[in-house]
Amino acid sequence: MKLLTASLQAEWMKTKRSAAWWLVITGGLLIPVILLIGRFYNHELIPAENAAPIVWTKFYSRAWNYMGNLLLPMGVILVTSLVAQVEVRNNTWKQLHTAPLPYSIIFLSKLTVILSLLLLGFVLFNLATFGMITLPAVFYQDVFFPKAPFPFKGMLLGNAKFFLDMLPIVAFQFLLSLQFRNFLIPIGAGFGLYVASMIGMNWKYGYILPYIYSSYEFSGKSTIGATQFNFHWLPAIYCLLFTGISYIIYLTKADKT
Amino acid sequence: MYLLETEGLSYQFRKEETVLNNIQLQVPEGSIYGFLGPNGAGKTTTLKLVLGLLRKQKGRVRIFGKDLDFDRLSILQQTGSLIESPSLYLHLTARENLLLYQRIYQCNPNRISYVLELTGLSHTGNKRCSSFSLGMNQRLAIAVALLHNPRLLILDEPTNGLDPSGIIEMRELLRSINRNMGITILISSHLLSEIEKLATHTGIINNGSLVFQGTFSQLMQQQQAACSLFYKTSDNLAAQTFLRQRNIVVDMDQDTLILPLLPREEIARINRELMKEGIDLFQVHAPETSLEQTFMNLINQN
Repeated sequence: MKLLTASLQAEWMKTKRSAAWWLVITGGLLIPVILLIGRFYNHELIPAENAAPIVWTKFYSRAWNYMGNLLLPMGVILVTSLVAQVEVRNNTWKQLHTAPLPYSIIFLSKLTVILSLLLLGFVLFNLATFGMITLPAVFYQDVFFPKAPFPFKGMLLGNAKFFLDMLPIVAFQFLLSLQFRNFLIPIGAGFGLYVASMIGMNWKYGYILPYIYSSYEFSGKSTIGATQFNFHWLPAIYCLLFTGISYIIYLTKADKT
Repeated sequence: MYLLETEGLSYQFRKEETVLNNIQLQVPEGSIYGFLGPNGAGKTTTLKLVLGLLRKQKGRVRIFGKDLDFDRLSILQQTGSLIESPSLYLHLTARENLLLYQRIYQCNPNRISYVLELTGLSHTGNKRCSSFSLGMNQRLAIAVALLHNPRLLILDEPTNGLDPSGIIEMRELLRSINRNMGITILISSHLLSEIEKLATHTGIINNGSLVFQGTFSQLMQQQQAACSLFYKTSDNLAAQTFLRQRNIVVDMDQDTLILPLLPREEIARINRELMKEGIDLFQVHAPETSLEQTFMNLINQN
């Protein structure tokens, strides 16, 4: 446990000032900030919008629509590859592998840091979306804070589903980034798979595509085809499968430099 | 008792290509062991195997009396290394790089300032490593290797790419680390002059085989034993017969007699006796063997 904590701290330090770190912050804030600017631009609509009972659901859905369909998968592809490849870019695998850390701890720490960054992105996005809905009340006297109760449970559940939908992308990008030294391979493969998933949205068996699930959330489907099988099991299964393969490949690599 | 030993270490990248063949490294405790060899001889591969960076195919590695296969973590806890180029997170500062490894090694945080001071990098402040010179990065890599106060330091060509003053600084630093802290250093290089100035022991590798191991004086002695003595006399045939009668192996090449190199006193005695036999000596020549020549001979023999 002591080693895991030490390794996690070290991995977290590596993200300091890194492109991945800035990407998470920018990615988390971008959509809510754009929507906020839009609201300010059409400020005459704000009083009615904030008074409506569906104000939270309406704006959270709008923000998630842009985020989940495009920005989130792209961001996850980039952040996972950037974090996983920090050792390749700095030529530091050999130093890390001569540190007194078990390989399993190194693997687990890297994956945990990626998931933590993803979680941080979610938190920022939610806070910024909350701000997007409530901030106009601070600037305009005729605008009130939304009176409708905040749908805390629904929002948490929505976030959990999107988080789960992202896990196959994290796991597969992690696998590619550990396997290939060339940064373009995981990025290219990731974007390619994402585009393939978009094309496969209307395909009967589209649910088998591992990068499709965040878009699937918006299609109104919750089951696979005509079955009663909840499709959210698939990202969980894919994540476990890809992580397992990735761990075996990492562990059995003959050259750890 | 050796601090680091390998037994029968062999390695192949492909089936038909043997990179290392039965390497038996023996690094005495407290020594600076210079691992010498031309480029591509197998130095880096050996050091990677010793550190567990390459999966071992054949042989054993023992460090601090422990087997690398069974005690990897406890061995690495007491070993510092720098393999090929410096391994640093270039977007971080020198202190941040060290802080990161301080967490991993769980050593005293005061060591960070100490190793920065030792390597002359305490003034770097908020400067990121990406803006450091190669020499500074090389010194920081040494600082990382020294951070946890290791017993053994493994350095693969640490002076590569350094200018002459950087090489001198590095040499002084390593010498002081060895003398003042008692750290055993295994350092590889393809530069004989570099190793000669620094190392107490040496191992010479060529084409994947260890062709010599010992101190520099042992190296010179070994080479001298293989050297020859050249005589030109007024009567080579009579001189050859005379020497053979005294059980000295003599060959003749045109007008020159070739004898194995003998002690100076023995050479003087033979000279006197040949003169007594009425054989004039025109030339007695024992070529001087420089360390460089010895090194080249070993490399070329192999």
